[in-house]
Order: sequence, then C-alpha cells, then structure tokens
Amino acid sequence: MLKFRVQILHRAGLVSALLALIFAVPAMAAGTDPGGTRAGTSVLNQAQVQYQVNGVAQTPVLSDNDSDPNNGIAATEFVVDRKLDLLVAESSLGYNSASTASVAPGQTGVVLAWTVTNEGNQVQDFLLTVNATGFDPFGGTDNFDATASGVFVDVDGDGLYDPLVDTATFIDELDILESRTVFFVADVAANRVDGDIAAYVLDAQVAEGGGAGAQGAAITTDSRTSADSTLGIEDVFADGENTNNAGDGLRDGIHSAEDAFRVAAAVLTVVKSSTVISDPFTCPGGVCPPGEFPKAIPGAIVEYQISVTNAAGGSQATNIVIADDLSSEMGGASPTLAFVADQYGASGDIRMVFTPAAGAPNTTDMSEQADADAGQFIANTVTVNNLTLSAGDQADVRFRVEIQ
Amino acid sequence: MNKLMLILLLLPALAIAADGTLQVQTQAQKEVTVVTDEGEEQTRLVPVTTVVPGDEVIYTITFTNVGDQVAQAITITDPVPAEMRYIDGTAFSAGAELQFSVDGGDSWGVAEELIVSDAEGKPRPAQASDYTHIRWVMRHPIKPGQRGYARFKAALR
Repeated sequence: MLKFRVQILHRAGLVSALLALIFAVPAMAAGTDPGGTRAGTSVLNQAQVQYQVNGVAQTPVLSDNDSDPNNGIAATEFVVDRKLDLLVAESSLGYNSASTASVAPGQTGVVLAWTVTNEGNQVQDFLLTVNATGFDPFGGTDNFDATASGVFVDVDGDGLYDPLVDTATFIDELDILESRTVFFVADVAANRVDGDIAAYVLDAQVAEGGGAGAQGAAITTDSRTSADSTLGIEDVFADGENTNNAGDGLRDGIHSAEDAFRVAAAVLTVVKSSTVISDPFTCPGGVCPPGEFPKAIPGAIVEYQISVTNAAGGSQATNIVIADDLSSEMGGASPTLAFVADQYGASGDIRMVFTPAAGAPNTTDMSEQADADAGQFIANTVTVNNLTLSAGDQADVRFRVEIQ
Repeated sequence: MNKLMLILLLLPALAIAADGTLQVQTQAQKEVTVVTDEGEEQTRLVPVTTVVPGDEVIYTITFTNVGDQVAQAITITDPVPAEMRYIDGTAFSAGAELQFSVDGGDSWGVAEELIVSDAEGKPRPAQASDYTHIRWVMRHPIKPGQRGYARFKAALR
C-alpha cells in the first residue's frame, strides 16, 4: 500500500514536469524589452505557507531567507540593474530630411535628421558624432562629402531644424522610451550636380545622466567582467549593432544609423516656337475663315512662344530671367519684324501662362513698359524677370510680331 | 561557506526543532549556461545578481518540516512581484494542484478559468502576464524532516 502511494506521487511529479515542458512558451530573449523597470528598483518576494497539524490550522509561515524569524530580514530581494540601450533611426525614411526636402548645388545649411531613443531603464545623456560614410542606406552611390557645420539636438521637439533654438550638441536627460531628433547641418558645394549623394552616419553614445544641462561622461564599458552583487546596481549594455559601421558593435553602448544628402539640381529646358495668327489676305480684319490657314507673308501676325520647363524631381529654380533679343530682326535699316502691342486684351503686350506641376494653368498679361509687372519690351528685347519654377512647373511667354 | 550552507540545508530538522513548524525559504536565481573544463555546456542556477528588464528569474520556495508532527493541507501562496511577469507554464511542484489569481489573491482558479477585463472593460481570458499570485495546493502531507519545494519563472518587466 505504501509502495503504491509512493508510485502515484512519483508519477504525478513526472506528469507535472512534462506539462511544464509542453506549456513553457519561449520567453523574450534577455534584455530585449525596451525600457522596463527602472534601475535601482528593489524587487521583493515572500511566500506564505498555510498548513495544519492534526487537522488544526496553524499560524501561516512566511518565507524567511536567513532562517532567523526574528531579525526582520525576510523577503527575497534583488535590485534591478541598469540596462544601457539606445536606438538610432534615420527619421525621414529617405534622402535629406523634413527640414531640407530638397538639396540644390551650392545650398548652405542643409539638414539630415535622425531620432535617438533611450531604450534603457534609466535617464541618460547621449553624445553625438556624425561621420561621412561610403554606405548609402537608400541604395545609391556615395560620391561626395558636404562641408559639415555641426550636429545639433532638436531642443523644441518640432522635428525641424531651427538654428536659433536647436543649438544643443548632446542629448540631455533623456528618459526611458523617450526620443529626440538629431540634426546634421552642412553646406553643399556649388559644383555638385543632380543625383550626387553624400552619406553620413550618426553615432550616439550612451552617457551618464543625472545632471540637467551638464554633459555626462560616456559609458564605454559595462559590468560584465566585474563581480556581481545582488543589491548593487550593475551596468548591462543591451544595444544592437550596425554592421555597416565599424564603430558600432553589439552591446557597446553605441548605436548608429546612416542618412544621406541627394542633390537635386533644377534642370531647365527652353523651347521657342512660332505660330502664324493671321495674314491680311487670308484673314481680312484679323479674322480667319474656318478651314483657311494664314501664311507667313508680309503683314502677317506671328506669335512667338518661349516655354521654360523645370524637370520633375529636381530643385526649385528661382530668379529665372527669360530674354529674347530680336535686335537683328527689328533693328537696322530694313527690319523684318515689328513688335505688335495690345494683342492680349486692351493693354496686354506680353502674356505668360504658368502651368504648375499640379493644378490649373494661370494666365498673366503684362505691358511692354518697365513697370511693376515682370514683362517688358525695351530695345528690341522681350524680357520676363523674377520667374520661379518648382520641379515640374512650366512657364510659357508669348508675344506677337508683324512680318515687315 | 558553501560547505557550511550545504550542511545546514541537509540537516534543517536539527537546526530548529519546534512542534509542527514549517520553515520556508524563497530563493531568487538565474539560469546561466557555463562551459565546463571539459568543454560541455551546463545549465546552472546562480543567485540573482545582474537583472535588467527582460531577464528571467527563477523563484524557488523550499518548505521544510522542522517540527515533530506531520504537516497536512499545505498551501503555498506566492505573489508575483509587481515588477515581474509570470512566464506561462513554469509554475511547478511535485504533487501539487496549481491555482492562480489575477486580483491580488482575492479569488483563485485554475489557469483556464480566469477572466480579466481588457482596456475597454470587456472580459477576456487571463494571460500568464495577468497573474498576480500563484498557489500550490499540496496533495500530500510532509513528515518531520521532509521537505518540498515549489518553483516558477518570471521575467523582469
């Protein structure tokens, strides 16, 4: 009988052990929880056991680890250690940044942006270094370096670089699971061309926090080789590795990510065309009968059109001046062409049709005088000043002449 | 020092002798894999020293009958520390029925019975991470000098 009972006990234990194995789910790998319980937290545990003797309930017993029920030290305790972990990520998911959507040759103060997140379990400072790298994270080919002017923290937290506000050069007192944007600011040489790429990598190094406004010392080693203590606070690096960056190893207190400038020059194309509007015989009084086409004979009115287009995907082009010098046709003793005014309404001498990359065309009629409008016809030259064309925009300038 | 502790553990009944008394200890340990001099990998339990979020801790409750009477109807109750997340399927004790609580020990049930409210107040089956307390109801008494143990794993939140 006794033997039988022992067997049951034994088998019950075996079954429980098997169940424990079957239902044990893979736990999260050690140290991969971002953030978590703050370093220095005491975690206490005390079990209680109730029991009976001869059918009479006894006073419950609490676990007491040093076998002395009277010294007041009872609970099992350990202190949460310091996990040093950070994540650096490129913030615009593409070339350039929200602060600098497009980078043109010769542009100064262009900006790259990353976010740095404290995934450790204590407030930390983070030190920042940006280096040129040959690795373009977006698959292009790095072929130049910009002239660096500095690495700055997004102090006001708006995600956009503001030179007057965002002047801090290290991340101060970043709490658990909080993020900051970091900017790299540089100048691009004027001789760069469309498609040039300059790649950079941001290294963020975990540093001691605790002093607001003061840059903490870099934490370059953790406690893996020092003696452990249950109630002391040890350091454990838990950061990942960037295999494209030799300066960022696994669990070294540094994390990094690349970003890159891509130059988008404005590529302007100019096309000039002409159309015969009327001739005095086919179109008496300037009205051409249906089905009859005016010819370029003396007395005919011809419209010139100069079309300027900024290619899609490039930079905005500003201060464009369109000038068409007609001196050789209109000057001299026997000119072949003469400028004709008032062809676009009562006082419209020059017409401009602006067609944006997206949206409806917009027509502006201008006088030939040098005045507030951008167009003029002076000294046998048609000029339109101060034109701005964004990528994909087109401007058509039209004026009319009479064949002499 | 280790030898002394071992002797104490082996002879608990002699250390303190009070009638029908249970002595209870709780240990917090971590599982580490060490490589022996022969190059074999061995898993060992070592006292908890370095613990960071995500790390697993093994709690072992050892109860010893240091009295001279049989202890019956033994129930071990252990709170899962608020900073820890119980790992499903790890509570174990030979010859015990397992119960869990999700309300700080007010009510108890086997794992499948427990219901908690989600963020919108709708009831849903409890998950291991919801457990606040674990209880082992021992099926067998323990005689003077005998010991039993209960164990579970939890991860630091």
